[in-house]
Amino acid sequence: MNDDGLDPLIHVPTRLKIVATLAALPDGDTLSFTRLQDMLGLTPGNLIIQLRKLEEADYISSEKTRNGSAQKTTVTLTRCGRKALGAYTQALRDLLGGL
Amino acid sequence: MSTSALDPQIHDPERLRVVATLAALPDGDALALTRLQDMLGLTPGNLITRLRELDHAGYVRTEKTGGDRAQAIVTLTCDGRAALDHYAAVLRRLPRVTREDHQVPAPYVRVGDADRDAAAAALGEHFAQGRLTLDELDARLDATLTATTHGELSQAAWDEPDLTAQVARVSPGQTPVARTDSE
Repeated sequence: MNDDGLDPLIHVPTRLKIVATLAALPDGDTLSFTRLQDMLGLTPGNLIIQLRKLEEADYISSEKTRNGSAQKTTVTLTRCGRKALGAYTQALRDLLGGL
Repeated sequence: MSTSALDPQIHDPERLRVVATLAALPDGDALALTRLQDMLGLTPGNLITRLRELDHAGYVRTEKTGGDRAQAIVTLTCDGRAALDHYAAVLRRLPRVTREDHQVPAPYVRVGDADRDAAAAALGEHFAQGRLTLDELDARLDATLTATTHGELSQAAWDEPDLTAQVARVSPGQTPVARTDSE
């Protein structure tokens, strides 16, 4: 994290959207990969890359389930990710003051 | 630039700090370059580069004052202020972020007039919608307006749904998340 507190992992617009969307779910709820992709209008490749970065930082976790021949990936925000987003929004709020 | 995108000129963390700092000044006020540098803790080279980028976007203006103690001063332009407002609006439209924002205060936390007024207004709305009789409204308004803690206040309105609670969930303009996925 840099010294002005804007976590660079979250600050990238695409990742900010992913994290904010997952954070809007009730704690522990998951979202499927395709649904997340629809909501954010991202290409699969872009979403995969961003999710991998967030997963490496332990901000999200993903799970693959196999249902017959169909494979489904679900994504959820970790406690650590939620905390990081909280710190990020606080830093942003401090920066922007009343805006 | 699309209306829902975060302006990349402002989104850069250092430029964001420059713009936010200048925006905190009254409209039209300028800040000396050296003062801005102190406030932000940036190196002169770094600050000058950020200012040049922002100047290029038309968001800030750097001028030199004349006289024997010449110094560079920096102002936010109208475009810069509008861009920052727009940026903040885009941020606000992101899905509701932390639920800490909405956390109910602990029951022992004392309430102020604004809390009591909001609770009383909510009761009025419930009455208007036929969920409370006039007698119930009277009794609850009494309890609400004399409540001293959040515990007492929530007791006064204990079984009423919070009319505002459902609005801000999930994302704007999206279908609910609960929909089954067709994978």
